[in-house]
Amino acid sequence: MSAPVLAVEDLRVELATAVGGLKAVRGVSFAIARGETFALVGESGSGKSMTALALLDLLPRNARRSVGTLRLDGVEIGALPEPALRRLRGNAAAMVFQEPMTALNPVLTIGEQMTEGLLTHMPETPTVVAARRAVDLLARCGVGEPERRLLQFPHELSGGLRQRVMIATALMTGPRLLIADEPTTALDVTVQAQILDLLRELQRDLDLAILFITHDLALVRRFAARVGVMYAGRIVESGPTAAVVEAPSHPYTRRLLACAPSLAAPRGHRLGFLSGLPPRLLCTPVGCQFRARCDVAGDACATDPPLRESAGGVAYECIHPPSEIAVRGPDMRSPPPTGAEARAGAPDAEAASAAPLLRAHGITVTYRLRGGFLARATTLTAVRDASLEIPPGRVLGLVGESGSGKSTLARVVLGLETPQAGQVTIGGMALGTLDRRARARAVQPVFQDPYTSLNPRRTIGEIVRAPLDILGLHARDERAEVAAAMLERCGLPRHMLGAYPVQLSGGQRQRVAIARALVSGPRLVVCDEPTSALDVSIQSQILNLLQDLQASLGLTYLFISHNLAVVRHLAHRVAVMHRGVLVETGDAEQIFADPQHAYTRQLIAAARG
Amino acid sequence: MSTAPVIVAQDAPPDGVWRRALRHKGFVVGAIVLLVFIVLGFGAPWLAPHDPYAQSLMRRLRPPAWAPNGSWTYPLGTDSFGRDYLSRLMHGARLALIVAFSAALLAGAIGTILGVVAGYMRGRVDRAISLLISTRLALPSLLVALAVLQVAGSGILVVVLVLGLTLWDRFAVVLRTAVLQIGRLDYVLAARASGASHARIMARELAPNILGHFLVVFSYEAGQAVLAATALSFLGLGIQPPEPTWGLMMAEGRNWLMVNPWLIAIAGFALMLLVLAMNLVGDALRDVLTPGERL
Repeated sequence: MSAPVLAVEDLRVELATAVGGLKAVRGVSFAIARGETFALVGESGSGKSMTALALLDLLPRNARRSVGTLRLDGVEIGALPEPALRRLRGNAAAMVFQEPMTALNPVLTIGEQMTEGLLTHMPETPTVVAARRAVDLLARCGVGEPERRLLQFPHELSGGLRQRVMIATALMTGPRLLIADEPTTALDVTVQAQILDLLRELQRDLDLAILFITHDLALVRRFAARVGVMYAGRIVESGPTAAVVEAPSHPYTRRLLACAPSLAAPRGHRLGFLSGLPPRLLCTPVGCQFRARCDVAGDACATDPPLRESAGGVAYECIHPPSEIAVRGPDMRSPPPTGAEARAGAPDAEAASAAPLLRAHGITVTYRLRGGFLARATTLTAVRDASLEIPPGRVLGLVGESGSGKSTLARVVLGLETPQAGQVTIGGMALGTLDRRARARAVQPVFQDPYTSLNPRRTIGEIVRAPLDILGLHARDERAEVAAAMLERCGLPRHMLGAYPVQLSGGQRQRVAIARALVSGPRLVVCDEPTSALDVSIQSQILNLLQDLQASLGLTYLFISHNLAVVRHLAHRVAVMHRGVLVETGDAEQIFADPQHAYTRQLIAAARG
Repeated sequence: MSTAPVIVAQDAPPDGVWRRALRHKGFVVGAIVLLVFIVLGFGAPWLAPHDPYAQSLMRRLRPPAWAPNGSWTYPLGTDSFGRDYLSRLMHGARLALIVAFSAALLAGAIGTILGVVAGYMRGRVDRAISLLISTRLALPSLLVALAVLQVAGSGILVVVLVLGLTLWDRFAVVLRTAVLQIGRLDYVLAARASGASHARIMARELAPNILGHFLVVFSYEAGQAVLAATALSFLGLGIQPPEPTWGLMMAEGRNWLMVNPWLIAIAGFALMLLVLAMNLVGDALRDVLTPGERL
């Protein structure tokens, strides 16, 4: 085997924070060969992005890096001074970032930004040659009309196109290594698939080494030959992707894989379960950092775990041999709450014959977009003639990409937006005729971002109690108790009542948001991407919670998501939305097995990969 | 069902504001200076060594105690009418603080109402109020104040009214933007979905979250009001003699610049110190009240 393009030994990063040094990366080692893709996968805070930034020393100011060896193309770069490093950045190694909307400078043309790097690193290059190369690379990255694009500004391009431009820009100097930090996370499923295809193709043609940073195990499975699973600043398991994903060795990897909903698993099963939160990594962490959440852990785990070999060339850091983990690892599904199975929704036939709880008919929402001061106003139809029904106690999954109008439809169902045409009835009552209190008792929302859905200046207790105060439910002195009981039911201990949202993790905040939605006893809950902002293990906790509550309280969900696997996991029926139109509605099993509409087929194919 | 363990607070919760403020150097220094002005100003009737209005031709234009021929009987010397300078400075501080806080409060009330209504209602209401703000910004406020005072006569009430009615623009602009941002957040949407009335949303969801913005602008505008009131007095409009305002003291000192430059220097220094303290507190409040807020 030839020398690897990138070889890293014992990389460490420490962040100075107000409460002390945080060991974000604690001794990471890996190597990437030519033409190979190595994926670093992990949840937020696992240190994967810090690792990527540390390679070219692009860390934030409060970070300190130390590294045993760091060789790029056989040259040791671990101790290079800043000017020498600058020559390497964007030259021998280039980066592609997550957010294509902010990674391009809005006041420079595409051409200026693409040639900037090349002209900096090789000032003798004639501008015409640089422009020529930019056009070639744009064409190669699947950007149509490349000559015209050079003169365009970023705002004239879509997100997918911008990410293609970003990749083309990264390739301008002919780097040997491409570091891609969540390059498809901000993109829609269908665009995501195209970008991955593009990266794969470029890699083959240019013999690129790619370091692929992601939180998405499904992407790793499709894209990377080898994978390193990061937890608490270390690679806890690494090896060929197939071996790691099909037969994980480390207890964390096993749990994580069981947590991810998949398009292949049977519908309605309970997701795997990973309790607790990752460690904080202040002070000097000793021993296996996963032991607090691990059910195979014993006293011996308090010492630093050894590196073990497992079948198929997989290495993992754990004191237990594979046989022991497999035997002692109990059932990874969390037990369903007692009594839930018995009430797990009415039988299908019965539910289907019952009058629908939610009926939306012919909903059309049009926005008037104001032009400038003297410009003419234009209109935008966000939702066109959408009709759907949900029987009581059922879950309808609404699927669509960004801008498809699914959130607008959600606001109409919540009564927060008045449609230009059409009518929504909940339990036989027209939403338009209800006053705000009656409407609030019928339907409640759970939003996507738990960081903006809770008022930062109110305690958890006040937040959950507020709907009861507004609606005048229960006696005044009982309300705090009702709120506390609902919080407990959503899996949060009582002593959190006095805490403020900043003191809670994302998953805990989402539990508060769910408790607030359910405390007034609505029959319909609109969940708008309730797990999209959460990590896989937290997502599984929230999905299991939503599933349990739905069964035990007999709730009806309108469940909106761009993630097909999540929708498939939870929904009885599925509606697919595309450019404001509901293109297909039907039984969940049937739609995933035999999609009728071309767009649905495209979505499912993109998600399967 | 899981019981997630409690995590240690990473950011201080809102009730940790005091602790953070006391660790902020700018806040501590500004607050102490401001406090000294408040105590000396409002305690002037009891703390001042002399009657600020008592004139004496025998002791005109005495220099401060540290200058040659100065004496500790009149620590900062006397003015051209023989009135004790320190006593006049202390009484002047009271007038400055009253004008500053009343004018900033009035401006704050006007600006906050306009800004919150514009940001919350959006659409046509917003456009109308934005036009009003633009119109106000196009007016030269000091000239308007001069004209009004010329017509309406002088006195502390008129000065407060004039300044209050011309200094509200920054409140309106800042709070409108803040409410536009906060009003878009999911917790406001969640409150609407819970059946909350507009009044309840403004009081319970918006108000606590814009309080920080209000206080920051308030401290800055209070400083501006002190400067404007002093300028008006200096120009002879506004509060009239023999009231011991700093502006009047400096205007008077101008005539004796060659004989006794302390007359203008000390009042000017006091003015600078007060405004600086107000701005320090304002800057510190911004740091302390909105740490890493996701806005």
